[in-house]
Amino acid sequence: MLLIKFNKSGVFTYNSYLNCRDVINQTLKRAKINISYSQGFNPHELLYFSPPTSLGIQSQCEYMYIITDYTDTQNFKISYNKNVPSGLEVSLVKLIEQKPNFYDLIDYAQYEFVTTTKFDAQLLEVIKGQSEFSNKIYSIQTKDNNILQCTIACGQKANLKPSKIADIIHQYGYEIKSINKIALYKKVNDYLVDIESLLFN
Amino acid sequence: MELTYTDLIKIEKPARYLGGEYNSITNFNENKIKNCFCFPDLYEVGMSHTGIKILYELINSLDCSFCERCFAPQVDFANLLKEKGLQLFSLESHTPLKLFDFLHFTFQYEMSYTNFLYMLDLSDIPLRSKDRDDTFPIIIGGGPCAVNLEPIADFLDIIIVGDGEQINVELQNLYKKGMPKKEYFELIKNLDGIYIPSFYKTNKQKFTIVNTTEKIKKALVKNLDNTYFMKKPIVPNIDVVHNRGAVEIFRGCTRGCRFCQAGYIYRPVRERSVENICALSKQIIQNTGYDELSLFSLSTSDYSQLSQLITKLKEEPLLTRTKLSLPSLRLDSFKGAYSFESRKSSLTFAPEAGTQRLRDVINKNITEQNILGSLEQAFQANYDKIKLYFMLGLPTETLDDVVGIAELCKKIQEVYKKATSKNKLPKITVSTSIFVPKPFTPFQYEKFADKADIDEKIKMLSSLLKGIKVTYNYHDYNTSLIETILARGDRDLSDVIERAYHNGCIFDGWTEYFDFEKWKDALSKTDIAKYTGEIDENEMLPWDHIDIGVSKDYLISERHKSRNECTTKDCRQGCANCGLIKFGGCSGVINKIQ
Repeated sequence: MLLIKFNKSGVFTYNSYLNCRDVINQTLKRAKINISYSQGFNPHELLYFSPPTSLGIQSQCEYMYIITDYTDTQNFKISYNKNVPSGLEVSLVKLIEQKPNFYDLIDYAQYEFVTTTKFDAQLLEVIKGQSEFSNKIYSIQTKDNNILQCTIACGQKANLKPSKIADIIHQYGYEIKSINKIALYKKVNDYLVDIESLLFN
Repeated sequence: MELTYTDLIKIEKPARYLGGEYNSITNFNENKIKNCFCFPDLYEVGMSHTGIKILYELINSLDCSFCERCFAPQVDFANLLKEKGLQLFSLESHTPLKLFDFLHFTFQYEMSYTNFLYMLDLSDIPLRSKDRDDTFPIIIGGGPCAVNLEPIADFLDIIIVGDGEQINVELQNLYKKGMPKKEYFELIKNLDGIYIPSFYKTNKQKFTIVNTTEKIKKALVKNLDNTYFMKKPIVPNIDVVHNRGAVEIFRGCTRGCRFCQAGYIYRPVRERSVENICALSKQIIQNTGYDELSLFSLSTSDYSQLSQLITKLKEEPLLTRTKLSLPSLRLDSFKGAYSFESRKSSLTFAPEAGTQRLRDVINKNITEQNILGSLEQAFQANYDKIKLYFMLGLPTETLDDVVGIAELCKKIQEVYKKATSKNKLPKITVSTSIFVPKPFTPFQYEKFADKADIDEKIKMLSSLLKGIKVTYNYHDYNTSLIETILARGDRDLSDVIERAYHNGCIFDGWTEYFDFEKWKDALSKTDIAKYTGEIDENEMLPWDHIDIGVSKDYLISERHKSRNECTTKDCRQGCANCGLIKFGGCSGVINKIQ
């Protein structure tokens, strides 16, 4: 089994999770990485993804694992990245024996909302003040007056869709250039730990 | 090009417009000749077309040029462009179409003509060729409709008639950046396949083009094995209509169905060798990662070495997980071929007419025995869903022929019961389209059926099929009417098409967009009967200055034979002297059908 961290950026920002899965499957075939198939009438490739990122959001923190006999992690990264279209590159690969449960691991996600113009400090307060968002925002701050950084609930216990925050930014008349998903976190003893370090320690 | 999250999140499938697919080009050298291949329909339709992929790769293989792509955008995206003051741009470098040296439009169907104007308009390019000076790109039209592009000739600078592979290379090699258009047109005007509409004048009274002493010969590649074929096709990031690898196993068709334009304009039959097909299949699967490969042609089961080919492909280790698909199978020669499509549950066939008499008139050359025999095999192989295509409004058609469709379905149901010993009915779906007379077919002179006639036949068939529990779908009459007008149109129609576009007609091939009232308004000053009525065989035709290789005399003799219900043999069983030998494209000896 191989555990993989990859990006979803460039044109793939605007591709659905299902489309990305097909592109990854084709990439594995071109890279001659044999992957196991499910049994049954309609066999499909065995690859499993972290919870999908919404359409329109670029991400540096996508994870998947694949069932394969392939063990050379160094070579995997090289030949995969040689065969993948720009925007879905693999950043980390690790050989694993136990299947990770992505859904159990994730409590929060950090996003950056980049606007085309500088925004008013009041916007921050408006977002914080939404009753719908209570207890779902872990932290929120601005950077350079046009980037809103926020860490929000993501997962099975609580969830806040980043598009809800985007809606408010739009309501206040700002245009959003891009939304970037920076990291996924697990809450451990009141601290947030990047799941990358838990998975790839 | 600056499109933000705020812009794109409102758009349906933004990936259609952004490019970035595997095997698409990423180097754009400003010193090279800049080409953009434009398909006047949605990305999902255009990216299912093999021709665009071949020519894209071919032009990108040249040292002097590069080629990008553009498709007709959905209305939401077009509105976004207008709102932002942007012009339609290419997928690869996001360059406005206006800034290319060449725009290549392919016309696969007449109903895409308004979309061509739509794409020019969104690019801020004047619609008419005469209004575009040397600062605008040279606009080329090609594809099967190129045999009669008179209705949009005023909007095009160059029309390429015939096979595109060699002529496009010549066109690139002869062009020097910054060259005045006039000078370039003079340089290329005598090449086979090149038609420069502005060099010809129309005679408004007589439905013909004057000053044509010499005909424009179609471009013809004689040997497919020596002709460029794609090896690294672009792999779309989103699902498209045909999302799979594809190898053309032969070009042309030997059957000679009298209504079928492709059967005449793509003559002669040229087969690709088994070795070449295998080599290309391996390269395409390796370079794309596709799990399905389509072996396509106009009539795949006519490939003379089909079983050797399938055996060889199945032996290839690289292709063990590749599903082979064989589109365009015929009812009389698909012997066992369906067994290769193990996951498919339904079979589609086109008997086209319900009685043997009418099938003889159209020279379909299949018998009821062929149909029932083949379906018996299919039913024994566990198929229980079949789709059957027929045409209404064919020349000489009577109500008996329509009854024949229902009769045939009844017989198929009986064959099913006998073949499977099951006491139920197979799922049969009958679809009827309306016969559209096309240029360069023996039926190019035929009248397009009246609405009352078609309505009566549809009503009758509908009730007959309902009685025997067969599902029935039929095409819209008005779409076929416009298709007929455009297919047999002349240059007078350019005003009509422009008006239709300004009335809001786009995506006319899509039922949800087609608006007959807008077309009717555009046609209000036109004598429609001139385009839909029967044409006298002695009359000049708007496409007479084009030579596709099949002689006019042959087409007329075929038409006369149709009236006597006489069939013409398949070319593989003996040459019928259609004219291709004289044209220089056919040796007259074609592999026999196995």
